[in-house]
Amino acid sequence: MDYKGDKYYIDEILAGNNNSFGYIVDRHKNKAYNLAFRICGNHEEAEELAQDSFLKAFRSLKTFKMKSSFATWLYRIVYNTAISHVRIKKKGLLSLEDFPADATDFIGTNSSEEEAEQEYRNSLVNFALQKINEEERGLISLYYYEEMTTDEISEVTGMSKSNIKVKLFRARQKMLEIIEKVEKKKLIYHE
Amino acid sequence: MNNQKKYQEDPLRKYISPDRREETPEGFTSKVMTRIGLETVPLLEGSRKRNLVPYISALVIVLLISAVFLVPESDTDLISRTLMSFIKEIKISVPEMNLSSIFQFSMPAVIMYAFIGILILTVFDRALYGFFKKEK
Repeated sequence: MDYKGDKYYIDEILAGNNNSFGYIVDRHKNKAYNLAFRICGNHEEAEELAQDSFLKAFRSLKTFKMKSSFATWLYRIVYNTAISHVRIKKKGLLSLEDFPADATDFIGTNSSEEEAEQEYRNSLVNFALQKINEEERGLISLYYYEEMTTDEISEVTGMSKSNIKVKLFRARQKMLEIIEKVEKKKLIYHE
Repeated sequence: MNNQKKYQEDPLRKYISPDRREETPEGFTSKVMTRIGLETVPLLEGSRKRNLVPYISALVIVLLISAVFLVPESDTDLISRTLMSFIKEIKISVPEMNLSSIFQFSMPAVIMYAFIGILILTVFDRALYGFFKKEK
């Protein structure tokens, strides 16, 4: 079935047809889940957080004024839910030793070396993401994975554009430092 | 900005592929819809119950105000006199209790009544607590 647009389904829900929310969930679940996952770094928690965010969105749908897109509004809910969850449940810091030294560790039974390298890079980024703070994780996720502009990120996070730029710069530097350290460790491992 | 320039300026892009997406767990939508189904019914019932309180209060206030205007003064006097005479006629007799034989020591009867009163109030308090807890 063709998706008729967020506004159509929102009007349906506000008219009492709760089942229409299912179409909205289907449409936006991947983005919501991925943002939650990148901020909390855990699949089970990400699912719970994404579900909670959809529930919050459903409950406050009446207050949604359509000034921004539904996706941006939902992102704001997911971002805030995930950030507060992580702040409450601060995890212990990962050490560099927690990261596998060799890309071959990522070769599955059916994957090629190229796929393993790609998997290694993804894991490296996810590892580096978990080493920066939750706010920076959110910004990196919105900027690099959701490919949002600083204007859009500002709408989601409520931060000023200049603040976003400064924080993104710091987060980027931190991640690159971590990645470099892990890469050096990999070289030592191979020598 | 083309991709090559983007990568040169931002080395982090070398590691991040935006196409890379984590798979949403199976049955995600149905889980959300089930939670919505479970939550909306009690939420609506709760709000209906809560909303009755101001209406009842408003009704009582309106009745009292209209009574002031609609009931003639002489009738009010009649009502108050009838009410007062009724209250005066109420005779409360409390049976005399002699529990000293049970406890083998003498205790003023008023203390026993106080205990009984406290017990009754406790029972009422528990009942009211249970009622309001359910309402929540």
